[in-house]
Amino acid sequence: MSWSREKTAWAFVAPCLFVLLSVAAWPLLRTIFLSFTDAQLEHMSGAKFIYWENFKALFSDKDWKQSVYNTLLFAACSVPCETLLGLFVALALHKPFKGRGLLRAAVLVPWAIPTIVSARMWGWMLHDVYGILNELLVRVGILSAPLPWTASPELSFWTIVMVDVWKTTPFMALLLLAGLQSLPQDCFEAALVDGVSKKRIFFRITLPLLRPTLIVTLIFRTLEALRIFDLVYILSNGGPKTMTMSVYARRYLVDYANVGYGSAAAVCLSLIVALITILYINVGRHRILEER
Amino acid sequence: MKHLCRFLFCALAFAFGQAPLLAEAGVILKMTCRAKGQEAELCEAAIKEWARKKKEETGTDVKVEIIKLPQSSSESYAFTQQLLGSQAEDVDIYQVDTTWSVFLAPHVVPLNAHFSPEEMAAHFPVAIQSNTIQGNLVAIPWYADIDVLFYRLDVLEKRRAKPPTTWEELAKTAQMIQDYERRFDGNTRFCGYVFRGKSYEGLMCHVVEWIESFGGNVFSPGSLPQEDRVIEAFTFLSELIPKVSPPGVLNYTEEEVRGVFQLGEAAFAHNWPYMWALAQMSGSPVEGKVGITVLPRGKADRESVSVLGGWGLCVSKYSKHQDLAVDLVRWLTRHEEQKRRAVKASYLPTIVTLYGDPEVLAKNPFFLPISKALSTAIVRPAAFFGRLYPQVSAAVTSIAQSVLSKELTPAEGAKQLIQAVETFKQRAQSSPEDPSAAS
Amino acid sequence: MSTIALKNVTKSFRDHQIISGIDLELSGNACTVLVGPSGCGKSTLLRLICGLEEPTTGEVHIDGRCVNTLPPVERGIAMVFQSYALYPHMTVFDNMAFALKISGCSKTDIAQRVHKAAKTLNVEHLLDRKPKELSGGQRQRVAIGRAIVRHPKIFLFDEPLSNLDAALRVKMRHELARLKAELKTTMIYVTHDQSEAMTLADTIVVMRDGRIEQAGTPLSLYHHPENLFVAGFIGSPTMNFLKAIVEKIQSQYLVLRFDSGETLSIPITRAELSARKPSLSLGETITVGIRPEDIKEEVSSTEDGAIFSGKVSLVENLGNETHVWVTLPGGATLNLRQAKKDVPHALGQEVALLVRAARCHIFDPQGKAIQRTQKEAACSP
Repeated sequence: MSWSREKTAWAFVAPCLFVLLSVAAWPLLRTIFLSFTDAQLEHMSGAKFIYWENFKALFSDKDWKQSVYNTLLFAACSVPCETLLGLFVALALHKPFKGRGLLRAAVLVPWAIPTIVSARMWGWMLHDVYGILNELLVRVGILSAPLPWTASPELSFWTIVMVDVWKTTPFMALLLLAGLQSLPQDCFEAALVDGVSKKRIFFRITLPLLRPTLIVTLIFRTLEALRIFDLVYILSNGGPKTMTMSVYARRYLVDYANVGYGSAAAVCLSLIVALITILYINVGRHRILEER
Repeated sequence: MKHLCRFLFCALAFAFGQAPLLAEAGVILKMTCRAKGQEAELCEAAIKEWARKKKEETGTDVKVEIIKLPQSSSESYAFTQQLLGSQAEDVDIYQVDTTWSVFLAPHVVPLNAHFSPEEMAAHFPVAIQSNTIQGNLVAIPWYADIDVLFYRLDVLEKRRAKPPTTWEELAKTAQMIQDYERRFDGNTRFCGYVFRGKSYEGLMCHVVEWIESFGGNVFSPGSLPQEDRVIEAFTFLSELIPKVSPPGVLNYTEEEVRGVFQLGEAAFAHNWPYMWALAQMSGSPVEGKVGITVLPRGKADRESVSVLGGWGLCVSKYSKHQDLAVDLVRWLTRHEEQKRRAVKASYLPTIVTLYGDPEVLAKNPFFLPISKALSTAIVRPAAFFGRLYPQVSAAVTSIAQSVLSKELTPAEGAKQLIQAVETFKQRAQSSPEDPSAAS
Repeated sequence: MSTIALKNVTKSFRDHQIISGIDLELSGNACTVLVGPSGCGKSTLLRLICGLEEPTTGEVHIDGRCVNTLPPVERGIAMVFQSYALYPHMTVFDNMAFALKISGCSKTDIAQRVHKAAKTLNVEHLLDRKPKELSGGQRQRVAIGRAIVRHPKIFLFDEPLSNLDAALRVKMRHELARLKAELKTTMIYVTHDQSEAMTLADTIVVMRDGRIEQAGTPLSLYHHPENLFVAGFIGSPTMNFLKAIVEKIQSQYLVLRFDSGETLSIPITRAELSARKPSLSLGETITVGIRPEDIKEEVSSTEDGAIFSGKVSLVENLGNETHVWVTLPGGATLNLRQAKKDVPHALGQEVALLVRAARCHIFDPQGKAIQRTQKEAACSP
């Protein structure tokens, strides 16, 4: 590109970059800075440098370790579920049939509803006394007594996973559907002519060709799952069994007004997410390079 | 048609452009207000009256915008902290909880100068005291909140049971009723005793009530904790789920408790009095069947202990319209307004004489026994712990939940609770930055 | 060697009929080429035979058995697709071996077959590559190889050369001809290019709008087209058509008058004339067809025919031959082919062209040919 074209390109990109930097980079840098201080919310100007004290306290807090474990477990459980279900839905929506357009729109509804709204909705539906889910299950006979979906320390984690899967499967389905529809259709016909069974076609042709899309979708979704906040905040009973890293960071940042410590937790959260992303991309890249 | 659309668009744009100019013609006050139950409507009605009067008397056009606070008081606290901590000029009046006084002190206008000593003496002394930090009245009390025991008149009568006076009696009666209803009346959803079990400030009030009513002595600064009393209290707690209370109670806040009780699915509910007016409204499934009494005691020879909650109004130091704001605050907390709120929605007034007012008592017969509890109510140690209080609250509620869900034995729970509170007490006392001092 | 029969086959997609009532029988180890303009239904017909589509009505028979409901693999069919349809994530070897692996062949058997086919197609050095590393022609050969290794009873080709450039197309055509001789299996080949049809086919089936216009050997279609469409489709450059009016019907001749005034006497027997029902009447307009190579420059007629005079309007010199377009008074054009040695023409030049009666094809007003035995094959110049 000639120099003047480059200049023009920069001129066009500059406003967007500026907005990005001010909205994302500045808070990020400030958070990192604050994590080394003892800033309190009502007294921000009086913050002093305490270097690694926050981080040391963080690593020795058993609640933090529990949060990290909860978050990783949550991601490890919900992401595969969402991907499998999403793949299933995408395959079902791939073939044209009557009403497919309508069904595609309907499938998106859980994803479209703001999480706060759908979490509240599920909170009411899952209520142990007046919730409709318990009512239905007891009537049908699957349950003998209503279950405390969100209150019981054992159940609440899996309830949150279930609601997250409900909410995110449409997103995965749509991404995978896009991937499916961009696959070359003629080699599927060739496979039919070659006598390959439908099941074999799926595992030997569709899946390998879908791998790049799958990897991107998985990376996307894992990142989101590691940052989960709203569902946990609204649905859970506040105890340590369901606390995730974001909830922990918020608790210290906002509830306890301990901005320094909360920032340290936020920084650790970002580092963990970044680490996992890098791992993922490296594994993914090797796989994709293998194809080449 | 195209021209018409263009004209309309320009006209609209012009009109919107003028809006800020128009607004500057009058004064806008912003106020935070809780929206639980009927609070928001009551507030708006009162404000309308005040604005009208103001216009009549002085000709100034004042608009008051209400910012609705979240239902959870912990959330509201976070919101208020952020605004005041950043010295925002946006909000003039805040509705504040009694436990926030320490934090509020450096950010508000001291109201002593704006209320006469007679006016201040009209309120319950404990209400004024809990809102005073270093001699400054940080917020003027608006209404009191004290936990009471609601019960179903018809259900207790059916089982020939009396309202319990001790926690043990409560557990027995509630269990018996729950058994009966579920097994013989086929109502599988019926619960004996519901309370606020989610890990937040509402549960903290319960825990203080339970522990102190058994004589645990844990929460007052400088007191000596009685471990065996705490174990007694925790034993009571550990046996609640599931025979007396539903397992879901661990996720209940005020509104969930009200939901269960108002739908008719509970025999006893442990909640704030605001529930009375709503439960007795026409159309409610339990209309006319609700009774209120003071909380049970730990033992027959002890006193019933209730935690004093309650909300007040304060004026932000950073407000641009302090005089107008103070005027509104005076209006909203005066005798007539507190009476109106009591009659209409059963909010407990903080002005003592209203507890003898026949109109108020006609609507809320339970105010009489409650008024005694009000004057003997205990205050949560928020002022003592200062900035650490939210953490104390979180730790205490977490332990309580573990005992409720049987993850900790009463003995273990008691040990952990006392240890945690003592540690926080030490931190609060030895903190280099005295949390109760204004910075 | 298989027999394929289509009995009254129709195919519609959502009220749009693509194939209307086709009856066809193909037998022996022949190469049948389905040819026709775009949208005529030839690919659909191929897919019906293959089993990728099911006929709306009618039956498809292979070796006497109705195969309507049989999947492609059970019909003993292998297909080469227009876009090659190679598996992008597999190597060339795996592409060719995939079907064999599925059907459970042993590893040695697979390796042997694949290598043999690869050798035949000259792709042995490419066995480790992925399709995106191959050129168009190489991919084409791999696609063919994938079909060959299965030793099918029937080979189907769906416009396999249309994605290649002109030179490569000719080269691959020769390869296909060689393969055809080597494999000796039934082949059905679909193309829109009539020169491919002419060179590869044992039987050509010309299709239009979902119907068969004519089926036969290439030369029979060339020399004895049964209707205007086939006459105009087969042969490049296309046949010239002139409109004429029936002036006289005599016992051995049909006298025609053209717009530009010339007359032409066409030798035809009574029997051949009456073969067309209803019989021709005076004054009817018929079309006369003459191929470019059958027009000579001639001032006077020493043979039976008509002389047309006109002006040269376009000259295309291809190096080995020249195509000349001559506009006649009245607007019609005649295209003639000149050999290299002939004197080139200039634009606007006046020329006289001889159209010999014996080389003419005549078509009735409905476009159907009136066949004559006294037509002379264009083997003599």
